[in-house]
Amino acid sequence: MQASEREKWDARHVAGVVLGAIYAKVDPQRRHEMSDTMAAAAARADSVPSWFSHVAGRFDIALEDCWMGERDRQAYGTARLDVLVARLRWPILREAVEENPSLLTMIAKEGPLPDELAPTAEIQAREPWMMPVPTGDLLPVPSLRTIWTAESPMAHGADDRRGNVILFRRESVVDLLTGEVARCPFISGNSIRHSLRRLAAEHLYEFVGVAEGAVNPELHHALTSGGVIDAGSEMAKVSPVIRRALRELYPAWELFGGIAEKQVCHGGWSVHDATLVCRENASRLMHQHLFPAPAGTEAIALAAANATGEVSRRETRAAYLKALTERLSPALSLMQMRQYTKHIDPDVPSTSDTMHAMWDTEVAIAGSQWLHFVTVDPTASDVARSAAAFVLDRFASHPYLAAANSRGHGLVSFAPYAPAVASAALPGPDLYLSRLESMKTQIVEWLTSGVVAKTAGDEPKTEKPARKRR
Amino acid sequence: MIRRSLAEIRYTLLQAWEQMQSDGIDDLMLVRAWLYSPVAIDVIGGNPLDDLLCVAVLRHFQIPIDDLGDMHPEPVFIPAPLARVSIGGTWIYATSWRRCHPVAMEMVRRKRKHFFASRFVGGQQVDTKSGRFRSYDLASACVTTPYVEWTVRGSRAWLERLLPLVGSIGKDRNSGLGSIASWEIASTTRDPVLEEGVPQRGIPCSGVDTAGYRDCVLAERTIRPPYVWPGTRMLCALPAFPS
Repeated sequence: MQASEREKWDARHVAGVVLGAIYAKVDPQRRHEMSDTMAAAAARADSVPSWFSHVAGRFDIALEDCWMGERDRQAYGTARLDVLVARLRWPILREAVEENPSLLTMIAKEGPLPDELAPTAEIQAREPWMMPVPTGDLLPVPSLRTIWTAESPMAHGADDRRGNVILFRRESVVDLLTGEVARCPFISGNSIRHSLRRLAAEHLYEFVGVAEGAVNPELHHALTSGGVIDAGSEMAKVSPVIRRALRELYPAWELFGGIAEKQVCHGGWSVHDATLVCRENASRLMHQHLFPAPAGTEAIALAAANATGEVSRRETRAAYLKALTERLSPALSLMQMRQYTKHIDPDVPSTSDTMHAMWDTEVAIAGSQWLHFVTVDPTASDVARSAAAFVLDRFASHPYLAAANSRGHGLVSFAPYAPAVASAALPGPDLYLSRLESMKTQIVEWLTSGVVAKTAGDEPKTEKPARKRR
Repeated sequence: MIRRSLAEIRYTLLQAWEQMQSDGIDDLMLVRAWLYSPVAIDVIGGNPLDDLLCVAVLRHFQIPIDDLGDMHPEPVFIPAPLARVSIGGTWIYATSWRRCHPVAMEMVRRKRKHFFASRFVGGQQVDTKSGRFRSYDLASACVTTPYVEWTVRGSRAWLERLLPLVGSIGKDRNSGLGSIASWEIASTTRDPVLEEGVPQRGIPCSGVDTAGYRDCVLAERTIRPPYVWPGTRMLCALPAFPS
C-alpha cells in the first residue's frame, strides 16, 4: 500500500523530533555529515530502529540514552528516543526520506515547530483522486519488446552518491490508482543504448579484423559513445554526401547516429528505458497488455460486459489496472543492498593511495523482471533494419547490462524481441553482414584513417558567401 | 529503400497535402499521449503537435529526413493534416500547445558520456578531463506525468494513421525520454487556438488587436513547422500555462 500524505507527515514529524535530539548531541564540527549519513542509512537499514541506530551510531550516540530535545519537551512532553522510534512504520518513513532527504536534515537542524509542521489545509481538504485512465480507442506505437529476467542482481548507479552507498537509479512515477508519486527504480535507455552501440562497434572491429588500438580515436569515440561536437567545427554545414557514405559503409550508424566528420547524424531507433515490473509501474505496464487480468477478478467480468456494451471502457480499464496492481510486488521488495570490501594485500607495501574500502551497492534482486522495448524509425533502410536485428541478436548472446558487469551483475535472459501490436518484424541479420563483407576493405580504411571515402564530384558546390555591404 | 530526388519528394508531399484537403480537416479533437517515461521540457511550448505530425508524414511516405537537404533558402513544405487559422494575415496550424496532466512533477534526468577506453590501447594519450574526449554529465529538465495532451482541429483519419508513427517526443527521445505507450484521440469542444481570450498556443500579434487576450505573455517565437527554421519568427502572444 502507498503511504498517505497524513501518514508520511506523521513519520516526518516524529523523525524530525528524534533527529532534532540527535543533532543537538552531535559534535558541531561533524553536523554537516548528517545528510549523507541519513541517506546512506536509509539504504543500509532494514527497520526503523536500525535506521536511527545507524544515524546515531555514526556519531557515537545511543538512542536508549537520549531523550527528546528541550524545545520539543516543552511542546509535547517527554519520551525516550528509542520509544519514539518504535512508533514509526518503516515503509512510510523510507518513502518520506527518499522523497526528500534534505527536508529531514533541515528539520534536524531547525527543530520541528508545531505550526510549521501541521498538515496544511490543502492536504486535509484534498479532493478525491479521479483516476485518469484512457477512455477512447488507443493507438499503440509499433515497437519491438521483450521482458528481461535478471539472472543476477542488477546495478545501475543513482544520479547522486551518498557517502559510500551507491543507490539504484530512480525516477518519479505517478501511481494512477492513488495519485501518489512514487520513486521507482529504472534502467535508463541511454545506458542500454550505449551497451548496444558498443556491441555493434566491437563486432565491427572483429569482423573486419582491426585491432581496437588501431582505430582512429575520434572515430572509436563516435562508434562507441556517439562522438562529440568538436570546438570550431562548422556545424551549420550539412553534408548529405558524408552522411550517406557513413550509412552505406556502416549501416548500424543509421540506427545509432552520432557525430563523425563534423556531421551530427540522427539515430534511426529509439531505445527506451527499462521498466521494472512492479506495483508502482502497473499503470505503465497496462498499455502493453503483457499480463492478463488474474482469473476471478472484477476485471474479467467487466471485460466481458464491455464486449456487450454494458459498461464503459473506463470502468473496464480501471478494474484491470486495480487487478494488475494487486498482483505485482512493490518495488522496494525487489531491491536489496550488496556490500563490497577491498582489502590491501599485506605483502605489498602500502602507500597513501592504497586503503581498505567498504561500500554498499543497491541492486535489483535476481529474478526481477523488466519490460524493455525499442522503436525502429519506419524510414530506416532495409539494411539498417537488418542491422537492428543483428544487434538485438548479439545482445541476446552477450546479455549484460548496466553497471558492475565484471562482478557478475546485470546478466539477463529474455525471449527474442518481438513486434508488439501493429508493427512489422525485422528482417534477418544476413543483409547487414553481407554488406559489411562487401565493404570490408573500405571499412578498414575508414576505421584506421577516420575519414569516409567520398565519390568524386558528389559534394555539392559550396555557396558563395554573401557580398559585404558597403 | 529507393532514394528520391528533391523534386520527387516535393511532388509526393504536395499530393499528400491535396489528399488531406480532400479528406476534410475539420474534426475538433483532444489528442492524448500516454507516457512511459518523463518528457523533456527543453523549450517553452515544446513538442508542438504540428511539428510531430510533419515528422510522421515523412515517415508515412518513407522519406528520410536527410534526403530533404538543407533548409536554405527555405525548407521543403511538409503538410500536416490540420486546419489552418489565419491571424493578421499569417497562418498557423489549429493546434494547442502541449498540456500536462494536473499531477506533474518536474525532475532532472542526467545523461553521462565517457570515452570508452576499456580495451583502447592506441598510442595516443586520451585526456577525458578536457578536450574532445572529455567525459560529460549532462542534465535534462523533464516532467513526470501520466499523459500530455493537445487540442487540435484536423483530420481524424489522418491522425489515426500518423500518430502511431511517433514513438517518443522531446529531447533525448532516442535514449529513453518521452516514450509514448499509446495515443488516444477523443472529441472535445475546446478551441485549439484561442479559448475565451486565453491563447492556447503562440499566436502572431502583428496587425492583431491583442487587447482582449488574457493570461498570456508576449515574446518572439517561430509559428509553424519546422520550428527550428527562423524564417517564421515573429512577435507572438504565448499562453502562460506551463507546457
